[in-house]
Amino acid sequence: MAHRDIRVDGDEAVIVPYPDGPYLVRGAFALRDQGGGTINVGRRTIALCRCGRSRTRPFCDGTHRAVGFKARSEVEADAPRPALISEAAIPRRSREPRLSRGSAALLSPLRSARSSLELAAESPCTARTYRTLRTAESLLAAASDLVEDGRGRESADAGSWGEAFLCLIQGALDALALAGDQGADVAPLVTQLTRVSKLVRAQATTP
Amino acid sequence: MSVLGAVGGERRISLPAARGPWTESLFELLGAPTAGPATHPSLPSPSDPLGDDDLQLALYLCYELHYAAVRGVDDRMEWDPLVLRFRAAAERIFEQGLRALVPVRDVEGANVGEELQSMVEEDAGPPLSRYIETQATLREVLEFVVHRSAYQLKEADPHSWAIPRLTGSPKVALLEIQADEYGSGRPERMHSALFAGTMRGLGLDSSYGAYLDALPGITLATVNLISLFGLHRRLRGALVGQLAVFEMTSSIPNRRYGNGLRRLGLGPEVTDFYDEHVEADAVHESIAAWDLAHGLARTEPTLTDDIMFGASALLALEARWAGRLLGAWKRSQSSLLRPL
Repeated sequence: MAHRDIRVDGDEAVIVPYPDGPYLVRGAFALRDQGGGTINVGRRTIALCRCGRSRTRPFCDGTHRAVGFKARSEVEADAPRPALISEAAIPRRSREPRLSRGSAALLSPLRSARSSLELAAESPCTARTYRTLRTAESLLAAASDLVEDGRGRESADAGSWGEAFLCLIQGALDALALAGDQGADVAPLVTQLTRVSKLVRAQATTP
Repeated sequence: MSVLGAVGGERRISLPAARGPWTESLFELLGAPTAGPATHPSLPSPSDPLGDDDLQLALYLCYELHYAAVRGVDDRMEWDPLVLRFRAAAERIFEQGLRALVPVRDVEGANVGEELQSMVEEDAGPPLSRYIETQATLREVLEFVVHRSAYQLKEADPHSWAIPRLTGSPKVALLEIQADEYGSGRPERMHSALFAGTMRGLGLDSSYGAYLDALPGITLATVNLISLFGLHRRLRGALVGQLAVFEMTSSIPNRRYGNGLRRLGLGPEVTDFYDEHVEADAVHESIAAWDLAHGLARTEPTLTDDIMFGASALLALEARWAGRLLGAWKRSQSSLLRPL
């Protein structure tokens, strides 16, 4: 494979997309915002966010790993669209929750969380927050459907069932975290949903 | 550079012809390595070498002779044959402990970058950074900083030992990281200087080695690991694997540490070190994983196992260290040998 020296001395800037990671920028470059203002970089080599989830955009803050971002370094012809809920959001150590028991205990907090979300979305907020809250609500709706379908199922299906449920709840929690960043008061909902997902996980450990 | 192409290889020379008694004598020595005793003849072999407070402090001090002046000790002791022999005995026990701790992974040289990524993704480790972000008390945070001072007051120095031992693109990659660690030309931005600022901001003594008496063996082991890998050319692969995983597991925890300090009402003079590491290590992790570790496996394929060994050893030791801190705090005890 041809070796290309990108440690440039001249006035060339070189940008390299790293596998599953950021764009690294080296060489002679200036970083500016849309208004032409200089964005302070503070170092010779910088990493620009490629996954879109950094909290210090345009810089990378390592979040790509937490969200399971996948991308090749080379040009991609038909890259898969990122899933709404990343694989990384699925708890790794989820055992097989016993789902036929306690379904009612799951349905009722889900129902109340959904109506709180509807209320929150109807109160004055930006279009972006509205969409974020609606996303969380639709994920919870999917989780409720799953609980209803899954009631009384054979435990053979329990593993994938519980994983899907926890994944939806985690997706809703991610959306709520975003809404929280945008200024919505979501703390009570987060507490409630965290309790729900703990409940499902706890069922895995108590016979 | 690069993800795509790596150049370099092991630096290797042949012994020239002997020229007289000095070279003849030397070649005789080099031909027959001393089969040193596995342990120091009169010293016990600890049952848990990685967590042994005594052994790890002894080894740490042997290494300190290479980093710092030690009060009351002649500078020449750095290369005193008896001290080196003593150190070799301690190192042998330490390295055996590490090898026993870490499973051997069979990795194709071409896949080191990906293997390191999955190793890091699989390893959850104890939730130390989450705990510090959300619940740790100020006393616990102070203890955490004191533990880390064993390394962070000389941050990056052990990795500099590897610079002359690497060639080609892995060497360039290491230098790119080190230049940033050392402040890119601004001494006040050197990471060790930022850490000293954090210690002072917390009212701690930032002088080098001030808390050595309080540090348990497992804390010292996390630093001895890097000195062992750094000071032995033989272990340069392990050093590179250690650095890669260190950087790959750094950005997110450092943001949490910064958040934890802000939660406790501390200002930028204290959080600067952690905030700087969020972005710095996001740059370093890509370079370390791909240009350095993956590149080294491409240019020196025989080092692949060592790269993975160094990476696993770091994760295993750090997990044990974090477990000690969280365990002590859960019991409302100090995680140090003597409370602050």
